[in-house]
Amino acid sequence: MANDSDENKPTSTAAMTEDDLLLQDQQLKQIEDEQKASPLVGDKLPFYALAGLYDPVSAITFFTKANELAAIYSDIRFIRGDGNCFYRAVLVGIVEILMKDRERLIKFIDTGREWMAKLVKLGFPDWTCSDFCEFFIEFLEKIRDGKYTEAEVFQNLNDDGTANYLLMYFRLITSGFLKDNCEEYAPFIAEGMTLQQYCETEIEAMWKEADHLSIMALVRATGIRLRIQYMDRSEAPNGGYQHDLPDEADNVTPDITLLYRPGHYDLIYRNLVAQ
Amino acid sequence: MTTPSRRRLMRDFKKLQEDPPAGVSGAPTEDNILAWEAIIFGPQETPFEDGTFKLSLEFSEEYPNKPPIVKFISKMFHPNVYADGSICLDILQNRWSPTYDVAAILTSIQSLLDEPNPNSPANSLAAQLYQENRREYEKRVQQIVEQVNWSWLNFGENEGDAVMKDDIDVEEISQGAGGGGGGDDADDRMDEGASGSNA
Repeated sequence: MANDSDENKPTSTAAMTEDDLLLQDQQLKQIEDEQKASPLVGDKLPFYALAGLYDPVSAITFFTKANELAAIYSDIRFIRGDGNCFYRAVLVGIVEILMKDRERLIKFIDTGREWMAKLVKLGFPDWTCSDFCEFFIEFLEKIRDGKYTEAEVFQNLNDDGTANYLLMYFRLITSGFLKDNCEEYAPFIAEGMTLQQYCETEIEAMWKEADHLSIMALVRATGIRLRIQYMDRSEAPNGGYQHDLPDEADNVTPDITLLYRPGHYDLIYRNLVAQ
Repeated sequence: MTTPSRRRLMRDFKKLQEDPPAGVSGAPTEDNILAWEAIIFGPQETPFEDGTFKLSLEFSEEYPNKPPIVKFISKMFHPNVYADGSICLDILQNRWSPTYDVAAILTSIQSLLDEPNPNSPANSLAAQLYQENRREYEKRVQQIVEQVNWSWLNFGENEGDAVMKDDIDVEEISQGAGGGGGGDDADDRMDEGASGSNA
């Protein structure tokens, strides 16, 4: 792509001709089409479906681990791998909790309103951000008022336009949380970038994967207890197979558990009998 | 059912009417909320001054999660505008955020006019002149401004103009630009926005 070496500082778009751009567009379109072949949020499947993805010989580590985990977890929902998977898994996990817990649902609606006011105060583009918040609050209110069946809720979570509109609320409060606690979190931002820039380019933009900082921010912004289950020990920040947020020492049952496989999160459910 | 993108576009439009940013205006076409036309006035005290540039914005059902495709319909001579009118602007590509609305897009393009990024040239001649021969660059820009403004008044005579390739209602717009009434609602809105921002 970069064939114009005369440029002193070629950016990715610097040396692109229209043909290059067209080709890139086609490639991106192809990747996107492949992603769209799987649903945004899969149905709940028995956990052993995971082991079925791995070859017992060539992928022995993951195959074995998947079988081990099947003793603890009963179900899995595969989430589309489009860069939004972390936020989407949390969105779905939270909505599932709220459908069963009315008190928490009402509290979450109130928190949504508080966030809306806070985002404006933090200097987010006023009306567009309020619009995302309002959309999310209206969605929860419809659940509260019994206007959606569970099937309809999942229809919405699987409709690209609606689901991504809802998801944007989570990106905004993630970003809002970091901006609100700028002093605490600014030291964790890689050099050469301000916290503001990080929030704008890595969190507020769609299709950007969440890293540890944004994960922590979303957990604290929503007040959920999250467990991330790893397939191998090299990825977890604490060097173990699982990582609990916001507080490691908490050791209470998490609200939501995510399975992390390199570069991707799915939603998993504990086997209640085994507990 | 109203999709989130259509709902949002209606709100974008309402916002643009109630609180119009200086020097830009835009409206959906009469029969399609996903297809917009917009006008950007060249910023004062720049070579683009007095230019009235027309653009098209093509939204998808994934807006605002994905940016619209924005193109100049009017002729343009600018380092970051391709021959077909496509614009090379980071916020319309990799730095897009769903928190941007139509007003933000249009004002960003307006700023781009006088603050080109010669490091990502879409028009290499314009980029080269901008960096090496500013005087000639400004002359070329002013020529374009004249041509574009002329085309608003004399559509039929400007066969080379990009506007002619499009199947927009030439007659109504030329009537509106000439000060005559009788345009349909969409064009009236466009004109109000235009004269309002000019004042």
